[in-house]
Amino acid sequence: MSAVGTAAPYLHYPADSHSGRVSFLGAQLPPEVAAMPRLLGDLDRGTFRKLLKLVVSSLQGEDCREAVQRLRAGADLSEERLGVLLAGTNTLLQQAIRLPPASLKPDAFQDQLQELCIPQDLVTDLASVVFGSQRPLLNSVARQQGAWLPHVSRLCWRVDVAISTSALARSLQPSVLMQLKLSDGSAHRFEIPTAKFQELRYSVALVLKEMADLEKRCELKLQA
Amino acid sequence: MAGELESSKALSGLLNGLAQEAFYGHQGITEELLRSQLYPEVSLEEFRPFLAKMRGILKSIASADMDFNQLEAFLTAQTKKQGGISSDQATVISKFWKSHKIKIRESLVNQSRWDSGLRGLSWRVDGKSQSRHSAQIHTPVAIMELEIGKSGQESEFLCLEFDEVKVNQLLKKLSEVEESISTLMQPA
Repeated sequence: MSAVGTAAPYLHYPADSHSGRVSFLGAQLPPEVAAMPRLLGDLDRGTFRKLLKLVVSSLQGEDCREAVQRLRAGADLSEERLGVLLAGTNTLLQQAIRLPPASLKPDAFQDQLQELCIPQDLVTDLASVVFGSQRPLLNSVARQQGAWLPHVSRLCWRVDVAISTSALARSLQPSVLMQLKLSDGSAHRFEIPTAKFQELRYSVALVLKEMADLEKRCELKLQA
Repeated sequence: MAGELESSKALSGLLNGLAQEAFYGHQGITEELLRSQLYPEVSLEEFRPFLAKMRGILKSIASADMDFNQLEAFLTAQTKKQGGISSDQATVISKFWKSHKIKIRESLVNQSRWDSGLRGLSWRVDGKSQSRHSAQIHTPVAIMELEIGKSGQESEFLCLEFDEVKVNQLLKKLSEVEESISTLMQPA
């Protein structure tokens, strides 16, 4: 931490760690994480805990802009320093949460943070977020933030029977009207002729079967 | 003259032409075209009422979507009428309706569809493995592409993603629809 200064974290090549494996932060240390250790040494612990709580709220999808302003005012931190700490902590936690517990164990996590010269008590705090009771919630929020095509948020249907039309005196033709509301806010309404409806129903049943088969195949691969 | 109007082959052609214009939406099949192609020896003055009669008969049959019993009764009545049709002509009309009934009905039903309709469906099942936020997902995801369009207009393609739960929910709703249709269409 002394003469080498801020360059010190960059000299910790992943392969140099005694386990010889790649850090959970990737082959190249993200710059915002690299910049953290030198700012943590003299940081008030209460302030760090507040900051950590803020980052966790943000990872859970909450709007934390006001909270950030309050933290800055209350803790007498420069904007630059606060920015580095927020970014670094956010990246660190995000990268750790991205990996399933089987891939990143608590000991390995703590070892790797210590190698980055992050103070031990702060390492403990960070570990309690990644491996503690909040983890399931953080996992589910991360899943929802994944790349998506729009999905159906609401489906309404109606079956109409045309009794008579200008072209057909006696129609008695059933027709399915469907309204889809999507996750991107759009709505679509369309009619499904009887023949197409049967095709749709058959296709959806087939899709479900294929999905179940795929899941079974994936499970077998993971066990192997 | 009457002899020409009796021709079965010509009448068959005439009914086809009338169907194209009235039910399948083909433009440009004029009175004159039909006459010159099918009844060249017949004058326009004589052809016109004959054409109107056949057109009227065909429209009655199609509009009522007659089954074969109704058709027979109807055509028999037409043969007995003053200024009606001959039994040979009745035979030609009957044969025509038997082979075109379903297609003509479909076309007429479509004439009263003005909203967007589902034209096609494609699908794919992927195994999601990783994302920026999660390293190992291993869940199957279905992608469905719905082709939706109005009559005479270009289709719109809707691409949607479903997880297993959502596919199940969709299937359940479609089963509800199916049950509703079956109940409605049960004979009283």
